[in-house]
Amino acid sequence: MRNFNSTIRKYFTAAAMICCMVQVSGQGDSSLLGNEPEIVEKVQNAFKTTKVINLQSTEVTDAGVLDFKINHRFGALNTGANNAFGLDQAFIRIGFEYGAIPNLMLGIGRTSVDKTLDGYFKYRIMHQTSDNKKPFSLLLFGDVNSRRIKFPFLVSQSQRLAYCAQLILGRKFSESFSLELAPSYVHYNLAPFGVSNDQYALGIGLRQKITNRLSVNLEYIPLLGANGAYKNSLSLGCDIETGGHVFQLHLTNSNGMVEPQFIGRNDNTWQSGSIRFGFNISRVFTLVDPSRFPNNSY
Amino acid sequence: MKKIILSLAFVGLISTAFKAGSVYKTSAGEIKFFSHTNMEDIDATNNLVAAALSSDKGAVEFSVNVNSFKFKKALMQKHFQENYMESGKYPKATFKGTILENAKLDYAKDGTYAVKVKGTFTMHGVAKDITIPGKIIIAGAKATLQNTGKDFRVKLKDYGIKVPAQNAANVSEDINITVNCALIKK
Repeated sequence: MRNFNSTIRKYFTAAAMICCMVQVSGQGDSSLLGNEPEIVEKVQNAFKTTKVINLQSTEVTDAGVLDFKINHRFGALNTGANNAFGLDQAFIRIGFEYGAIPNLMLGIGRTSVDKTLDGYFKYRIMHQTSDNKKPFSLLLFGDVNSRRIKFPFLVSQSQRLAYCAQLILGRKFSESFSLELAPSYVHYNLAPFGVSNDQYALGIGLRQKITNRLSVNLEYIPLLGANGAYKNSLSLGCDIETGGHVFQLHLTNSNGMVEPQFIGRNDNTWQSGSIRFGFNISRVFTLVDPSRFPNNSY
Repeated sequence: MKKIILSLAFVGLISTAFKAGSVYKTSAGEIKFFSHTNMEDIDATNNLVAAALSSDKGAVEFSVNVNSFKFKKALMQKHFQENYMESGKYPKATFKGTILENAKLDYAKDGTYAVKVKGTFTMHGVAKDITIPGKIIIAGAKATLQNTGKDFRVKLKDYGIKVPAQNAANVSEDINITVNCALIKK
């Protein structure tokens, strides 16, 4: 009986001690909330707008939002003082982008370079998440251009067309630094004699924030496989955000503003001074209440 | 045998102590805020607020994930996160405090009690001691903490959040915060 008693006593003491410990740990926990489940988010604001400079960024216009784009490129600096170092000359693109559904944006525009009309889409296949289960964003971009300029010879409608397909792989590494790679394929239905109709390239774009509303952007688009006498596009600029506008100011050796122009048909180099000052203005308008899109990406 | 009874009594005592300190919790509380200027009204809602209340001492805690605030405009939400709250650096806003009138509250009885909650509110990395008037509604196993936006105002300046001059017409310096969190007894 005595043995039995002491066994029971031991059990109870143990049980009581466990209870005490549980309570102590309950009180010792400085947070009433305990361990909150981590909220997994889609990583936002890798870039300020849908463009790095010329190159498409990993951003997609949000569903129901219209982005009005004005892109402007002056003439080359090396055209001399008589041309006000390029300021006398101007190329302009006016375009609209619209977020049709979450992760899909559609765009149209017209560029004064070769009087080019363009239509494109950008679709986000994968969105980087805060828990790094999706460590980067992956997007598909497709673009069709039609040069409406009068050619000195007869061309068919089909010969006016050029296409670009691009995969964009980007990661926001930190609050201030984002990097993307954009393997690109451009096809020209009409190419100069002796030049292939196809061009491959690798777009590289990065942004480094200086302040919350100011960043420095750099992009370089090396051509893969030498093709004619065309040069790699290199641009350096900054993004300035003011409310609903983003101003992108830059120096670039490309005067084209759509992919088939600035990727595979760029004649200018930085070394020769044929760089130009340019700017992009982006102004967004919310057309549709975002609650209409329950799967909104932000 | 005496010792067994003693031990049993001890265990019983501990379990009643547990009961006295019930914890109410939620991870889906609602917090809204509102900014009014002549140019623009801005409001946003967060439905993923974590909150806890311990009835014995009236301790309350809130943890608010900044990026979970939803706006009517995507760009507003992005600016809120990136430019104002800097949620990359300060992902959470928290409040830790106590219900001043807790001793007068009877959690076993349904009713609505006007209370004041005093504690530390941390937002944008800045901690401030504040007192928020509101009410607690007890209904069975549910305790709802509520206030009206008029009672809970914060000044952005106090929390180191700067509104640039060009946006001052659109973003108010005073923000009204409305809390509505239904906590369930665990």
